[in-house]
Amino acid sequence: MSRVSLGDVEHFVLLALVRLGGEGYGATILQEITGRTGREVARAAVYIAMRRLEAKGLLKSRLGEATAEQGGRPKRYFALTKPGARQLADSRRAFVRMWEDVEHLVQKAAR
Amino acid sequence: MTPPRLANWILSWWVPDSDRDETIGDLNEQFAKRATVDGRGRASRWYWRQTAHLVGRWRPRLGAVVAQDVRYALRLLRRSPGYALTVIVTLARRDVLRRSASPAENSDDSLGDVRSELRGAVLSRSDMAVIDGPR
Repeated sequence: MSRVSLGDVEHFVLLALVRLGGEGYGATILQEITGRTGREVARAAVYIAMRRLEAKGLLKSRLGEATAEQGGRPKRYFALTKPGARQLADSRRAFVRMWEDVEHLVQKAAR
Repeated sequence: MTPPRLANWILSWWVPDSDRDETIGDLNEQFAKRATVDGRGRASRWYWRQTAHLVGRWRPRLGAVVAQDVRYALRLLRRSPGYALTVIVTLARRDVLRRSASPAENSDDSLGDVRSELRGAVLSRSDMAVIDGPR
């Protein structure tokens, strides 16, 4: 199991990319996270998380062509890497194990 | 549909070079979509809120700000050399006049003043370490 742990926003960014078919850019990633979680995620936090994930090698990016919809600016497309996918799977496994047999206790405590 | 110009300009100045195009581009794209659905007024308010948020959260490091200012100055010098040189000469002249009027300002105390002014501003410890140098 990897020793690198993912923060909430990092986790959301990686999962959003999987949902977007493996590649996406800032606007689509933000929309996917907000639409799925119903939470307004801080824009700066998402961009910072994307850069951090890229530095860790969990994401890679490429600059697209300038588009009119972006006001003549190029989009930066992000894609999940193999280590990124492995990290996601590891994180999920760790969470599932920690949740095992305690879900009802958490729900009881939250009531 | 173009986003509020002033907000766009603030972002262009504030967001680091490495992230500028995609950050502002994404924001512009979302603005255009919102303007179509909610109208320009609401979309503009949203754009300003996003700008304020980005400026609040994304504090560039002192070194990056200085480098950005130097690049801006060089761009200005290339585009309108006459104007840029007039500004440089005027500022230099004012500085020389001030120094000759008050020799004390030329001493190490002025560096101390700058340090305490910078300390009063919002700067991280690492930024202050750069200014103070090794101890």
